[in-house]
Amino acid sequence: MTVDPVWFVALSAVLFAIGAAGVLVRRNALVVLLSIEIMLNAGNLALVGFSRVHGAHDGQVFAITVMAIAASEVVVGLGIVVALSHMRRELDTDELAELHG
Amino acid sequence: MMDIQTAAWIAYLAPLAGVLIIALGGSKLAPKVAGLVSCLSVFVAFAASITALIKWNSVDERERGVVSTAWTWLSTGTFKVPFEILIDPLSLWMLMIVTGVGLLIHIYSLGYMAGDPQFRRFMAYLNLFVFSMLTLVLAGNFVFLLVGWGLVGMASYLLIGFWHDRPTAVEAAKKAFIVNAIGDVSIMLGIFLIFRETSELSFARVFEKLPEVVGAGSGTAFMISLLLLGGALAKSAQLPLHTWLPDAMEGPTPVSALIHAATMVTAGVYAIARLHPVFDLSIEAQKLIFIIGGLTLIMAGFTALSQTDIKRVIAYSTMSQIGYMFVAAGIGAYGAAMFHLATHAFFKALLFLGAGIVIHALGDEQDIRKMGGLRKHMPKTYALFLIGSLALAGVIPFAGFFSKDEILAFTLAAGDVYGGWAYAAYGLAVAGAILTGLYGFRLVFLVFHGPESVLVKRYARGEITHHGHATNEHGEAPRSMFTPVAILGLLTTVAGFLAVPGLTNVPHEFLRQAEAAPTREALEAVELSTSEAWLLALVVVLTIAVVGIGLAFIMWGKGPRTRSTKAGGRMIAALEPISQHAFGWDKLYHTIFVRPAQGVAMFVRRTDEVVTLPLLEEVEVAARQSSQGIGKAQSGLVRVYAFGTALAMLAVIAAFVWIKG
Amino acid sequence: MIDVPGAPFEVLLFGLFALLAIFGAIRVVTASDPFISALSLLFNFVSLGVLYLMLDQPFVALAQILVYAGAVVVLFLFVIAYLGDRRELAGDAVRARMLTPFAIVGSLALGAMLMGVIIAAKFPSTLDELPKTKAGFTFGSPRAIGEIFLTDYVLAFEVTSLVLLVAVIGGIVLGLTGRARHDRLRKLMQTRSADQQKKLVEQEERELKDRRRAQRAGGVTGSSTGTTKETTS
Repeated sequence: MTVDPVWFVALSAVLFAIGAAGVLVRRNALVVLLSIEIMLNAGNLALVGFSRVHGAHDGQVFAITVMAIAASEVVVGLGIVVALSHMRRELDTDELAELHG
Repeated sequence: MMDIQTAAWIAYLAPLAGVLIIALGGSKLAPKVAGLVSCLSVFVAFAASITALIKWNSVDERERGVVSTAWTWLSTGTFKVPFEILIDPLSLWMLMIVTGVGLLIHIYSLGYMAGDPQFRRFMAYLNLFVFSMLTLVLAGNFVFLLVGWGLVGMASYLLIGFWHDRPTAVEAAKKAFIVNAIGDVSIMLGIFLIFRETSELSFARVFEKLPEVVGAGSGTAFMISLLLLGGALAKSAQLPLHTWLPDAMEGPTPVSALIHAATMVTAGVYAIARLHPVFDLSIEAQKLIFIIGGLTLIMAGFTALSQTDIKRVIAYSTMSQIGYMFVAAGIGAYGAAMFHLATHAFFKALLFLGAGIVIHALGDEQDIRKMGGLRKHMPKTYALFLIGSLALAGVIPFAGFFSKDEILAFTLAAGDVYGGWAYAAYGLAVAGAILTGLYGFRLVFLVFHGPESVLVKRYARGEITHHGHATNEHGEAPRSMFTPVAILGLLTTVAGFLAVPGLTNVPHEFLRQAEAAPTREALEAVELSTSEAWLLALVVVLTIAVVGIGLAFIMWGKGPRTRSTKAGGRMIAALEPISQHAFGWDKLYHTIFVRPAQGVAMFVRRTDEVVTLPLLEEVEVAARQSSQGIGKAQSGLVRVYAFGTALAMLAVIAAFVWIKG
Repeated sequence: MIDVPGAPFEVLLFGLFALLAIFGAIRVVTASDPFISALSLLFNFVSLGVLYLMLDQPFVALAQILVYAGAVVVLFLFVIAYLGDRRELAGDAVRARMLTPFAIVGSLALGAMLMGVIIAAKFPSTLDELPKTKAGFTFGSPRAIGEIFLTDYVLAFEVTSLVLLVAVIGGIVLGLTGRARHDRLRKLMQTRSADQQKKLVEQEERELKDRRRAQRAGGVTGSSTGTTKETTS
């Protein structure tokens, strides 16, 4: 393996930062969800990279579980978005600010 | 065939089973069934204790007693406290008394408390008490002695305050518990001291080790004895921790009979006898014991003379008689003390239960000024009550005579050891005996003799009703109440013959085995011979009894207040208030303890109102305002929250990096 | 996995797909049309899949393609298409306007810090011989994953299935619309026995009959006032 797995982990850091920026900057609920997916995948990448480094399967198993959970989360999240749209609400996270103190 | 340990354990645990069954059955058990269960459990206990007694002969003579361990209750490293019971003559003696008299009183309660809406609770509590007392009596080490000690106090509290909607009963229960708590602390400290000196807690080993590590007559020995004595004083209602006993009469009469006559109050005497190797080490403590006993018996006897509540008279009588037991225990005549304990249990329970019959018949009336001439209408009860009173006064052939006789004889002989103190105690005991005859028969004459009072006449006509029935419908008392009283009457009559001087000597012989409660060496000479001390005591006791009874007859024989001379009348008028207020002990304690405590409580309450609460309100307002201010930071914008999270994460990573270098 | 000689090939491969992944990610975050965002995400996922392959983990790569690229992205696309045109108003952040630059800076800082940590950290040397599992399956193979899932991590396995079940139910409930949802929810929450059901049906029929009769009566007399005694059967 001539490509040091460290690079993969470094790549995951970059992707994570990009995803984070997306979550914090964009206001469209769907885009926010997509950015979250990017972050999750970045995490998966790191897991897989480390799994390769140590030669253990734990990372892979973890990554697969994360995938399943992420899929579930997307289902529910999109369900909420759809419900919101049925209520004729704006999909702007800044507008959906009813939980204020 | 059963061995002695099994018998003892059965006797011990049967009442516990009774409590549990009744408690778990709750309202599903019919009252009759509950009553049956409770009586049955005590019956089993009694039968088992007889078995144990029989089996005692098969125990090896050289043993100090049979110690039976159930399991190791506490174990840390090398220190172990097993759950052990000690079976020796002393515990067997108490076992028989507790279960026997307990059984009779249980049966009596079936009749006395019938119809009470809380009947099941009462029977359960009675069983609980028997179990607690057995714990105390059978304990093989100091830990379980304490456990029994506390359990008995709790049972007493529960039973005194049984009719808990009566404020007087509640007050009395509290008072009893608090005074006993003082005693509990005292005995606990004593046990701590013992442990500190010997690092042992089981009786056998402590008794071996204590004389070695603590010198006889040393300050430590005195301290330990004093502290243990404190507990005994509280439990047995002796000076100065006696104020709770008269008030404890608020409880139902069977309770008074069982706990405050026959068993619990004798726990102090038992404790002194059981722990006698400790007390043997300090002559000063022994003096203190019998002096307190002497003072108490005089004071109580004197107080009983002016009481108007039938139960209070008997209560003070109990206090007085226990004073006699303390005198005996103090001088080291443990056999005599325990013998008097047994006979007292019989005749005092007899008196209380008889009083209960009278109270029941007259519609819960306890004031003797309203009674009189009852013997015409309740001849059988009168006869039994008379037997009890004769025993109390010390008239032959009833049991009280023999036991009192012994105590007086020993006390006189103890003059060799203790000098003047013993003679003083002897004088007090004699005077006290006169008083005993006096107040005992005052009670008899005022209740049963003389002209019939209005109340008694109403009873005769059947006008007094209880649960719809006239109280004189079925004879003087229902069988469940009468039979135990009759049995006690029989016991009172015959029990005395266990220790006829010169002929039988059962209590001493029995208790001396296994060094359970041997009479002190100095006094041993007395019990072995028919010396002049015996004859003197014989004559003295009889004379005293006759004098007392005679005086009582003169003064009250034909009804209340038939005084003989004017001078006598004036003297009585002067002394009466002292007697009525029981020498002012209650008032004293009230001033010393209760008032200051109330003062402190008021002060604290005032401080709370003025200082603490306004302060706390300020804190509340401040908190609310600040939280409202902070609340404004919650914008509801998801992005802002997410940003906060991201920042936090940055900070955490930075911290990690910085720390890990 | 790759036995082909020529080290630069792997580096090239890595570089290419890493860049594609980053490109995709940036496009997701910056595109104004959510549809484009979703498609860019697809790019990202596939690239990552390839990267997983490069790390000798074929099963994870496969799962990535099947689950993420094949299901999640498709779900997104469906929803986006269903919702129609919801283009975000460009740059009109009325509230928290100041947040955007800070957010970007913060993210950059985060990324930089993570990079720094990774570069500074000491990684153990890469294994050349990849160990087999206890049951003797090769590293990364489906069999190996299966074995681990069913022995060491069986709890995670079961719990995950539960989570999926919950998500499915949640999705269904959230997806019910309007009156259909109301009725269906009501029906879902009521459990009735067989006789209760029968009684309900009878009652509904009776009501229907009454309504029809009232209609007919009202039609004839013209009004429904008056106390006409009805003999109910």
